[in-house]
Amino acid sequence: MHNEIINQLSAYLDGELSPSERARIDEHIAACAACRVVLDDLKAIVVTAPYYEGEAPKRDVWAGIQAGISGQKEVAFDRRPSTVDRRRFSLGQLIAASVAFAAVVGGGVYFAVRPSTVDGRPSTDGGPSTVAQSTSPVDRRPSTAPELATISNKVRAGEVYDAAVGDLERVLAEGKNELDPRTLKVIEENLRIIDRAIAEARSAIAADPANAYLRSQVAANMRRKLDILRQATDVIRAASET
Amino acid sequence: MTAVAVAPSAEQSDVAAAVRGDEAAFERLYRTHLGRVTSLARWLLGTDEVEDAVQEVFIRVWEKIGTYSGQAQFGTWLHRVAVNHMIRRRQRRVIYRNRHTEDEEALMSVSGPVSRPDLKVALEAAVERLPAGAREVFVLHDMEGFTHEEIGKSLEIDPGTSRSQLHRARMLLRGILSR
Repeated sequence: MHNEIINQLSAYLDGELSPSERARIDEHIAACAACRVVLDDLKAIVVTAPYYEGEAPKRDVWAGIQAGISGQKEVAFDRRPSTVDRRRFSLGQLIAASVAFAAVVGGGVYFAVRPSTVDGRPSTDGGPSTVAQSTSPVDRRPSTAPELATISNKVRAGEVYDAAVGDLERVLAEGKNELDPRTLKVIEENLRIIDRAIAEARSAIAADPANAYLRSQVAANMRRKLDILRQATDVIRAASET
Repeated sequence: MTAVAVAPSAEQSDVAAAVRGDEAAFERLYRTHLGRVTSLARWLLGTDEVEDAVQEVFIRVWEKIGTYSGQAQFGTWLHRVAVNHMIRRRQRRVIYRNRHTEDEEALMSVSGPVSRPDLKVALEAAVERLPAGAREVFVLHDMEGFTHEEIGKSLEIDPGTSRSQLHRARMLLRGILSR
């Protein structure tokens, strides 16, 4: 009888018994001191459990978190209200920057930093498993993707990325007067943070080349940099066309 | 370790600032919730993965903080994000081999009442000693407020199994705490 009652005490505490089952427990508890002690103990555990304090890790991980979050927030690209001496950009210049950007975002960045197997194909287990929750589409690329990801493609992706960044940076440098100074300041600060994060991650990769997390961080930050540059140059382009 | 007491209004201000991209405010939120998230990681993932998991959770929280509606306590929302992330991390690891089908152990004997004055501290230590399946259900249900249906879905077990694991966990804890 006691065991049967005790086995129902959790359901009793959680309010999961029918009225008749509950009445049966109530009746037994009223008459049985041993079962009442068990019920009181379980109640104490249940009441206390949500208020646990926890224990911080031995090593502070904030630095890693900060590296992971820097530059992730979107920048509000407010257009400068009006400009008297508005620079215009050549269509070719803008198209070149846009095309290069599209080529990189279209798939190059991840391969540029992704670990490869000896034959140059992407490894199937070196993906960014530890950051699978990242919202970056770069991180979600399937591990079996393109057979074309050879060493030469990897090198080419890196070159395309550098070219895209170079073009967009030129457009930004030449058109920065089109942007509100506060916006420009935020952009430049974000780019500095991203560059620093990329440099730090690359430095860490040099010591740990197989670290998929670090590689995914570099890829994500490269894409963020391109995103910021693209948004900035979009604003500049819109301003130059009006 | 003592949790840092933060008045709700201060925390709400930090949340609002973090949504706008204020990393200093986010660091304060991190430090406030670090202990509990760390313990959650230890209980749900084991000690080897704690640091990586905590880091990932807070990066995930930063990414998602703009979706926090303010309807629930921020801590409750953060813990949901943390638990969901940790469970997905475990699923990737595929560690569920027969965890929930192990033979039912004899519950510890009822040797005496639980000592209550230091129950909170003792309970956290006792949770570490639970078998994995019972520990996970206890942490999710009694510590984090998940329902058996939610636990069943998350851990890919029957809600009835969750209920029986919960009772088992509570009785085992009682035995540990009464020693």
